[in-house]
Amino acid sequence: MSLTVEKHRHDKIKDWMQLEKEGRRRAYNREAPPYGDVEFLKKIKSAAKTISGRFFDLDLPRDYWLLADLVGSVADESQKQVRECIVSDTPRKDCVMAKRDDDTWRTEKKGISYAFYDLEMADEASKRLIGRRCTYLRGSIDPYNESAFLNDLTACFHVLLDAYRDKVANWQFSGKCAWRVV
Amino acid sequence: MKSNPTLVKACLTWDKLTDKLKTLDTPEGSPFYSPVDFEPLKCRIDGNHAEVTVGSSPGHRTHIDLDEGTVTYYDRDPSVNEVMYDILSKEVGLTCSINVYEGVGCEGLTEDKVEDVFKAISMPTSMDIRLERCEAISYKDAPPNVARRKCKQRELQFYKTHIKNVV
Repeated sequence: MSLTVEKHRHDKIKDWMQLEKEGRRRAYNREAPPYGDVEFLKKIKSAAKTISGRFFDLDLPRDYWLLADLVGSVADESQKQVRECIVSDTPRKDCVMAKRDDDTWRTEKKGISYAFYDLEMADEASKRLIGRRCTYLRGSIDPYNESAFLNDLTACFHVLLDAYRDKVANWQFSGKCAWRVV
Repeated sequence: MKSNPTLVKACLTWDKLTDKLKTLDTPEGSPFYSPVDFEPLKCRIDGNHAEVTVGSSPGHRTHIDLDEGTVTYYDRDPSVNEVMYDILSKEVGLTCSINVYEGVGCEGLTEDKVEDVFKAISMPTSMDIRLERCEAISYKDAPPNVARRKCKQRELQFYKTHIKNVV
């Protein structure tokens, strides 16, 4: 039987673990402007899309692919603000992703921070899946800066990778077919 | 549990076959599969069991179980169920029963029939639409029961000539 299958599961996980590592490194580097963060966010968005598709293919409960979709959305929605910080050479620690205004978390330009609220929904999905939220700093740091944001997004991506390893890594995929290999 | 290789091979045949059928048009000039029905197609195999999503309606699925030797096709469309009953019993050679509002249940599945079953389940996707358009356009002047019978026969004939013996 000749099979054309996508890149092996474990190779992908390896790439995604590197991505997680990169997220932590970027979050830690608070004094530097967020150069390269947009490309990083694009990679997270792409990985989350692949993971969500696999969760969906295997008919896993809604919260699995919801968490993946939310991580992807957050990575997408945050890019504009990060770009503005790059243009103004603002260090990650001063690059505002969300700021509390009365009871609403808003962007620097006073719009609602969709990234913040999608992370909140990711936290809810994470609670239902693993019994705890996936972010550590969201809501407790004000203003919510790029450094804290990257830390949280990476932490949610980590939960996603754990779920992928647990639920998908033992499956092989080709076209419309998925089959368990272990 | 590791998947049965016969099911995997048959699933990959179904995958290619549905890709091919997607490119065809019906005599009425509409696509063989509607994009809405094609998009959710998927098959998941675990051990000796396969679950195939064959359309966009909730529950439009087929369960293929080699442990039990059964094929269960779920559909709510009476005409589609009648065609699938004919294909699975007369063409594939299974022992089937039909509930026209629920689906077709078959017994007697063995490994040598798995590929034929997967080929058969390339048929029901969008069959309701094909039948409807066939009756409304190609047999618009015929009495409704005649039109329906002719269109169901056409589906069966298509299966025999374009799918059954295709490797």
